[in-house]
Amino acid sequence: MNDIKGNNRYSSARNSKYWQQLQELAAQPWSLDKLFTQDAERTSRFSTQAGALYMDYSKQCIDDTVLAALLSLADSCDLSGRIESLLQGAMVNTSEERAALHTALRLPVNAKLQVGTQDVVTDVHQSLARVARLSERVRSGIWRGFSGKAITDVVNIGVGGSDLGPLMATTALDEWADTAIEVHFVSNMDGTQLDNLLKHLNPETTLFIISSKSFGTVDTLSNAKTALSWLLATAKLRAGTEDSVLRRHFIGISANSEKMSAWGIHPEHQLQLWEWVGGRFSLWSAIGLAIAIRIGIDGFKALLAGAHSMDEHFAQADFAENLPVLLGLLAVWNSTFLQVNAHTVLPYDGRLEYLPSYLTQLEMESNGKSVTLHGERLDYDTCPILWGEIGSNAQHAFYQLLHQGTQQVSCDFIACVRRYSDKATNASLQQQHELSLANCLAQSRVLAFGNAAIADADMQIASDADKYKYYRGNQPSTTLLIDELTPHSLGALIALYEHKVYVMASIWDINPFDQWGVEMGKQMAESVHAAMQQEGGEQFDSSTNQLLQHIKLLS
Amino acid sequence: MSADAINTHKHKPAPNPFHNTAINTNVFVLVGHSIEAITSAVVLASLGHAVHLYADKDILAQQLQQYGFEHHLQALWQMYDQQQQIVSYGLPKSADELIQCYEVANDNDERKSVALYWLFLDSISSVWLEDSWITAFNHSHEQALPLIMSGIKQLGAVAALSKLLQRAWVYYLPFVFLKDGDAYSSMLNPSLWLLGEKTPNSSHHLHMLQPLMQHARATHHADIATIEFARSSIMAMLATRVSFMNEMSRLADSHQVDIQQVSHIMGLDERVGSSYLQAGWGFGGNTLPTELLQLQQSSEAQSLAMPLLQSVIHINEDQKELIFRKFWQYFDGFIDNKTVMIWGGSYKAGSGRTAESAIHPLLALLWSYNIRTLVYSDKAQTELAALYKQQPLLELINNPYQQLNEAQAIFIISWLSENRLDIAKLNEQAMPIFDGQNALSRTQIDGLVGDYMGIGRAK
Repeated sequence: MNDIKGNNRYSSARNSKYWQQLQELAAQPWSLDKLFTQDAERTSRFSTQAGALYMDYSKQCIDDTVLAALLSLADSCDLSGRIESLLQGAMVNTSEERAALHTALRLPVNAKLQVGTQDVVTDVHQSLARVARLSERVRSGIWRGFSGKAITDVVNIGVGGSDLGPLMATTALDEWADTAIEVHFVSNMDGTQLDNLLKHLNPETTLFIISSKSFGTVDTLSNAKTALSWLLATAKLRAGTEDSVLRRHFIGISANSEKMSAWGIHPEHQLQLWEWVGGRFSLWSAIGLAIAIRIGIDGFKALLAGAHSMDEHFAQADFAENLPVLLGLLAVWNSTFLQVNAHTVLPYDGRLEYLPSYLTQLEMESNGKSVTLHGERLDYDTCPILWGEIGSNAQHAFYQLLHQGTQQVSCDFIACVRRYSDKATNASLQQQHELSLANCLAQSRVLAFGNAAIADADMQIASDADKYKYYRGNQPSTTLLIDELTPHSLGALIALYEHKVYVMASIWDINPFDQWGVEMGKQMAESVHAAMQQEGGEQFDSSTNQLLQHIKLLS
Repeated sequence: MSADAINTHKHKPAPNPFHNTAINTNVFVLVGHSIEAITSAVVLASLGHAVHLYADKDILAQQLQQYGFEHHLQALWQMYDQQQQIVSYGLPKSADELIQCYEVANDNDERKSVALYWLFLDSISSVWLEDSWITAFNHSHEQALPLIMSGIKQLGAVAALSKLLQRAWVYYLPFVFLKDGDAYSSMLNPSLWLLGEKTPNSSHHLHMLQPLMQHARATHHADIATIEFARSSIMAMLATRVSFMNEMSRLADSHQVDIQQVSHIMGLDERVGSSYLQAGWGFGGNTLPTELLQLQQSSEAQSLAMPLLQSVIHINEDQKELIFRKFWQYFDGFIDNKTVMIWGGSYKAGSGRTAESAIHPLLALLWSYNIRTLVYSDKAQTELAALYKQQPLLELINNPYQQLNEAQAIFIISWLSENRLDIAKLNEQAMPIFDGQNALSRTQIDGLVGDYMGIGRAK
């Protein structure tokens, strides 16, 4: 490891006087309506831009005092040092004694980063070159299935970070797809997705990417096994051998090459991950192969470059203008101090359909923690419950709760300013885009100001009987405007949220790079599965035992 | 501008077009560099007419070189060129310049009369703007002169041009009769003479082409739009027959039936006829692919789906790599770094052209697996050498059998039936043969020691 400190050697923000100050500030009544009435200039101070991303956080329940205290809180836990530790490959993942070097995956080729004995940049670019070569062979029709036909469909089998990242990015960037090759994603353990998909695919022309950092994830391997059986059933009719099917139809991406080989992935078709790449931070690695196949290696490199530009901003910009730092501090303010324990992500752009799911994993798996880096139980709230949906769809689903429910919910509105500008016959599409943008701005305004957003809205509430028309407002939100959605700007957006997560974890003094909370369930599933295949068995609680009996009776 | 003014053309200096008056004072003015234009010039010259051919001289020279396999045509071209019965000039920048060469001459000059103008649309569209040459011909003083157009354009395009031309004697002559490798004879004795007339029953204004019409096995005159549609339909039908047989050949593979025998039997049925029933790697060249592309564009312009044509195109593209897939399957995909022999490269036996030939996708695929390719193609050698001179994995060889011992497989793309195969030499190596042309007879296949994989037929 580098000489840079691991995160457990930094002081905790919890012990700083600013923590106390923020608690006191949070106890005050906050009214967005009043904040805006009293300070017409606040938006010019509470907004900033980095590259293609413009962030307006003036609709957060803050004033200059709160922001100053938050920035001081960041200093109190040496956020700058923690950022340096992250970027320089220190052991920031303390419980697993690893670096978390997703930022190294997007370093330019001429950068230098040595971690221990590993020349990280060289290794990363060698891996990227392999991604380029494999993706190009598939895209150009050189890669052939067992019968010699070119690949028409690629199925990415993975779960969690091996699924959500590539799925989100390929969906968002589908306009950049310059190939007829379709990319599909399968993650469900129960086989539903695979079953639906295989009905429509041709085994001769389908390539499977098996992505699993450990290559031991039961969800992924059970899907991979089904895929292999499906291929072999056809291959045997055409004199294709199992060796040929394994060699021509599977690419493995994992940190465990032994397990890949044992499963049958040909060594030339194995792409290596490193232990220091966390699953939910891995789309920049070989896990992004599906993205490179769909949009080409140049598009994939633009995605990496966009993320790298955000890394540089994160490392260099003053905290007062640093998008990830501000976004992270505001999230801490909402969750820990204002006790707003729900957060929703609302992209007003159908291309970002899977961004909320991606961020759900990124934030909740990273920061859903209740002990510090030193193993001490926390006495404050950490990650809020996060969910989201395309904004215009969410308006017809859960906005009712946001506007008139009893819960405080913070919101991130995300929208792209320019769209459809390159299409000749797009007048009506552009109008739709404008309508979407208008809705985005309108909703953030009503959420912030409630009835005050419309001049005569209060007049409509003539009596108590009309109170169902009341919008209380005061729901804090941040609006992120992207100049235009491109591989570069998407890369920057994702990196923004990655770093936001790290900022939050730094303030909370927790480890965002482990996920021990998902382990016990996996172990228990093995025991239950074993019990399911045995006669009798009363080894669990009465509820589980009775459910098992019910299943056995019916199956 | 006088006729001599053409000499002042900076880019393409030309001799006085009326230098030679010995043969015929009625000059046929042809514009274009296509094989159709060259063939027409030679045929007209052989009928005793003086021909002035206007074309981009570089492209014309390239064309003549590329069509070196048309021995008869080449010999006649050289002869008429030397005799100045065919005089070729650089293409003027505008049609105005061309027309003025022939129209503003001294009244006493007997050499200026033009028999007709013949425009080969495929060649001129990249040089002359459509509007400008139509305007030039509309401003011409000689509106009684016939004007013929040839070439493949989108459906209705030639008819539309003819309407814009303010003259009565406008014709469309599609070269449906032209056979690559036998261009001269196929035009002199056309199998089918189709003539589109702007003015109904006006073909007598083309009396100078009467000998060709008389030699035609079948003729039909109609309005230009109908002839255009007929031309496209004929070509699409021929392409469909080929793709249909290729589709059947895949089924034949799994039924252990020889598709070539099936083709022969089908041809005995008069309702079917025997032409264009040969399974193989598909169709190439310029005519059928261009025609299908134009039809596709026409259907798209009309928002009309043509699924049959789409399938024909798809099958044909896929068919071009079918022998590669057979090769792949034979070696179970372990093909990297091998050496293979390829016989022929042209889009059909007898031609030297490789346009849309299966040789191109085949070579690209083989090279992507680092496979050394020894190519014997006597007629297409020049074209392949020019196209792939930078490719280290390509070796053009002069003897089909000489380096057989270095190869692990043979591909056949186009093999002239008159070149007898030396089965004994093939048997010395006994390597697998992937016959994309179905060039081997059943007797030859039976005589092979090694494996044989054709299209819809095997050993």
